[in-house]
Amino acid sequence: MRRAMTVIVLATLLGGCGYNQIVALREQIDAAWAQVENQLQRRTDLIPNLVEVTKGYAGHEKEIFDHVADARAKLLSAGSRDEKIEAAGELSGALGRLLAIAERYPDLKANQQFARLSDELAGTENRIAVERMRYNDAVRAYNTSIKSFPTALYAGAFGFHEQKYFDAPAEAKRVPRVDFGTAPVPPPAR
Amino acid sequence: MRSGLAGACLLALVLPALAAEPRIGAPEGFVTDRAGVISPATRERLTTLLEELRQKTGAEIAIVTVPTTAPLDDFTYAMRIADAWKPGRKREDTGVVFLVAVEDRKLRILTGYGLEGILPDGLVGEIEEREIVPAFHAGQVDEGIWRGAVALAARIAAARGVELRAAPRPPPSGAPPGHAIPLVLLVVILIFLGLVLLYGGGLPLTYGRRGGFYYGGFGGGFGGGGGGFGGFGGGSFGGGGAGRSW
Repeated sequence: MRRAMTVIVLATLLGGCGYNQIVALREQIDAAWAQVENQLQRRTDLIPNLVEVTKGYAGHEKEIFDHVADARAKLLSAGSRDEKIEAAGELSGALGRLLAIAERYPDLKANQQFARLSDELAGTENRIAVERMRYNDAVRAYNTSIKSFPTALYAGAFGFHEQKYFDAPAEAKRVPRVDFGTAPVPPPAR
Repeated sequence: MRSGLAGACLLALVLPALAAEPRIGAPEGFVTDRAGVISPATRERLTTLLEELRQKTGAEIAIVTVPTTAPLDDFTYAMRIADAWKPGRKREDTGVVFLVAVEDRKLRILTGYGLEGILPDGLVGEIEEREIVPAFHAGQVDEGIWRGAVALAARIAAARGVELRAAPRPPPSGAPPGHAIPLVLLVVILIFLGLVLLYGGGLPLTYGRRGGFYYGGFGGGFGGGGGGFGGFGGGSFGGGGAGRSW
């Protein structure tokens, strides 16, 4: 009975002590994560076509294709948020190497479909970067809140724990980009 | 070059720490020519075109030239512009940022959420490749920007089922200012059109006449008090688009 009373008193007090705010902040993290997942999914969907086109010009680069396929499968089977973050990073690295193939195969680089898919992929990488930043902003706001007074007093007891940031994977920091602009200069259109 | 995308990722991570710097400043209209590479005549043409596009489709294209985006990469810099100016109608997110970094020789077009369907990244890259980069290679930055803007505007207009009077086939490039009467006439007509469209409400005529010049002290464009450019609509961007170097 005493316990029930305590809970009721606490609940009333908590309303004024930022409990609702933490809940709202945690919701924002989930919403931001959903956006991250959308973009990860979009990227996953683009990969088969890109691989298909690339294979037509550089079929023997088996190691790179396998790496992409493995990383993609790993991301698709990842369960927790942490697993997904890790797998997404690995896939970024693998895709970077896939795109870099074009530097060695001028015919591939000149292929219109490859150019289009590369642009889509680069755009999706950028979208992931943007959504990741927004996700991290949401995590930062939440983490700051649960570590601040007075919420820090009870946050742990109510199951509000610090959330992890979505760090840019070490491999993704080395992702090369295909640069179509430096292709042999076409004669200026007149 | 190799670090471009990685740079974008990295910068996106540390972005909050850098939030104050560099300063993006306020837009000077649809065309903000900080690098000084757009001729007054082209600026008038662009403004007329983009104003008509806004009126008929709600889409807003912000054209920006800068000497360099350093210390940021072109993508991050363009995103800063998008977040600061918010071109495109609010909630419809029909904005475009068209950034040219002249000394970096980099070009970046970002599409707002609402235009990602009409202008997928692959198409944006194609427009850059076909319309803009060849002119840039030939040293005609002004012409490349015009052709790119026409292609983007035409695509948006076609998707919305409207026609743009201000978007004819681009005239033969490189017409020198000495081409006397037709060009002068065209400029006069365009200035007149621009005036009618922009300042129909009877604002001071002097601004329109000087519209072709850099307008250093013209700040705080939002809200539109006091005439001139009224600011963009409030669109959001998610990072879509494509870039090229030349």
